[in-house]
Amino acid sequence: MSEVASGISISVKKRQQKHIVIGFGLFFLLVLTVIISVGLGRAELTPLVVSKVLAAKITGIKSLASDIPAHYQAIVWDVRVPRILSAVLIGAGLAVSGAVFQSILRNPLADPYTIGVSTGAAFGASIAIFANIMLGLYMPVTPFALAGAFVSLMLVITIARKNGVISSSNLIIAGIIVGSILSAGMSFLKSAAGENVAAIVHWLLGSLASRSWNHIMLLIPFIVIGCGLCIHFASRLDIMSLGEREARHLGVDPQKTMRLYLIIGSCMTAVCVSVGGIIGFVGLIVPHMIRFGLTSRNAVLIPLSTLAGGLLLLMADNISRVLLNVEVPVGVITTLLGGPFFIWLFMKSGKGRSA
Amino acid sequence: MIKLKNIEFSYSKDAFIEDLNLNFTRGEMVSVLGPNGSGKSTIIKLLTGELKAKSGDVIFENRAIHEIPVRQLAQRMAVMTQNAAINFPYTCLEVVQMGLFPHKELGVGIDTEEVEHIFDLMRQTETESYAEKLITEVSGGEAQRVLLTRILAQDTPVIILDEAFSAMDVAHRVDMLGVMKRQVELENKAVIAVMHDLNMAYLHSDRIIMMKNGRVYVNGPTDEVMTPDNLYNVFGINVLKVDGKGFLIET
Repeated sequence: MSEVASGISISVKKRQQKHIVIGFGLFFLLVLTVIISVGLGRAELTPLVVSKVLAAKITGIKSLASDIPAHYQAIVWDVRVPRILSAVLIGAGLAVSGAVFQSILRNPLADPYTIGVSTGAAFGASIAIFANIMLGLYMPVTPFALAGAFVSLMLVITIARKNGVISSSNLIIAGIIVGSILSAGMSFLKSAAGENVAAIVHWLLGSLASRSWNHIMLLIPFIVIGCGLCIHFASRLDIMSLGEREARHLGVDPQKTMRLYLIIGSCMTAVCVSVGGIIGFVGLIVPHMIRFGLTSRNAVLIPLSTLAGGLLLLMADNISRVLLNVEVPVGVITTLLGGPFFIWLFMKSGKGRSA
Repeated sequence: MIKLKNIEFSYSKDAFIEDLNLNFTRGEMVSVLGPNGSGKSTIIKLLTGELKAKSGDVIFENRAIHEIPVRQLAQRMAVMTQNAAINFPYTCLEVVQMGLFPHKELGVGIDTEEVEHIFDLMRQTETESYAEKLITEVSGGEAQRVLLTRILAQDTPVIILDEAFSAMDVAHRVDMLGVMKRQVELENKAVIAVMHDLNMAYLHSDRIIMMKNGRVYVNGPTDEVMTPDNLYNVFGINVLKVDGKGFLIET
């Protein structure tokens, strides 16, 4: 091998090592943040109380926490832990589906909400909330949100398909159309709800308050399987991001693969939105930052997005519930902090990354 | 190894291509020339199976092209599309390595032998010096050389190039055509290239296909076909031929 080539090989290896170090760093930071987060909150619990409750619940040995009052146990295990886990899972899910949508839409500025699936989820949720407050029904919000997401996905795919072919530009257009119609539908529901509008608005803002273990049980299979599939097929996503014609000439069936990833990405987005409402910017910023800061290779990008997305949303949710006197919905926090950050990132980009 | 038989194709109601018959074999460098909109890219898309003919057959290695699974096809045919642009910041080396994808099982890494082969190709195309730069940040001509290297890394008996040299400076154009020529002569590959540069086509092709209004105007050995008369009839320009050297365009 030539001198130039071996020099490049060495720097490639160094970079791979750096990615591994960053991966482990993010992982430990995430675990640490989870542990610290359990102790944070209005009810001040000592680390000892927290660790006893956790130890008892995780190992199943009740005697470990026998001296802790039941309501403290409930605060830790039934209020804080599900909320923290939902933040981690939703953050990871949104970041990974963001990375997936960026690749299949060939647009580094796409996010999980680009093709309107999230608006579908929000519309479904709005219908359920509206029916509950106005008609006195008891319709569960989460399944309605999921159903709304899937109906809108089907709609978007049907509109985007021409002569049996789905192109990325058609998907974006169809997503925008379906999204705006559904937004108008939501505005209609809001105005029809009159003074009860707050319930719908609050849900739409995106919040992780009072999420339960049921939500976690819904999130886990979707997010774990979704992230797993994306990591497993990461190299195929790289090829897809080159464009439909290129993908085909490199032996990837663009239509089949596009559909597969649309469904994976949409499922993850749908379940995240149906549990947490519209939480903006995590799905755009996390993969974007890693792509332009570290690497575009999905084999690295997706695992790092999983960790960074979970970490970021957990931190944002901690700000939302602890730092401020009034609980501000986490969706507002992520957009308030994420927006300006993105502007900065966007203005800085073009100056290149040091490979 | 590739045969187009009685192809009819249309984008709209009117037939654009009719009664098209072409043959391509290994060990031959063929250039496709013609004015804008004469059907060059359409032929490329028919050859690669991207477009389906209304009638007639495209036969690749004795099989109808549409019956070949895309992965198998990608192991036998590499295609550089026109204006292929990459929106994501991959390094040039990463882009070249993607050429190995059709031959790789999922999750299998790149071994040292392949790494050395890749670097050897990058040396041939003079892309080694910027292997670590981002594909989004190199110039158009440099990016084309990287994509061309990816085509070489794909290591297929057939290479199809749709205006693969359009953004390159003249020196690199000559060099890259030389690289392609070596692929034909030393590795018995078939190279089919759509080109606009008449002199490059003249100097490097074994055979020329000239297109006009969706028809093959002439198809034959370079020296016989590249005549001032044919060029006038196809492109509407007057040229002066300097035998063995090229053409001067007269205005």
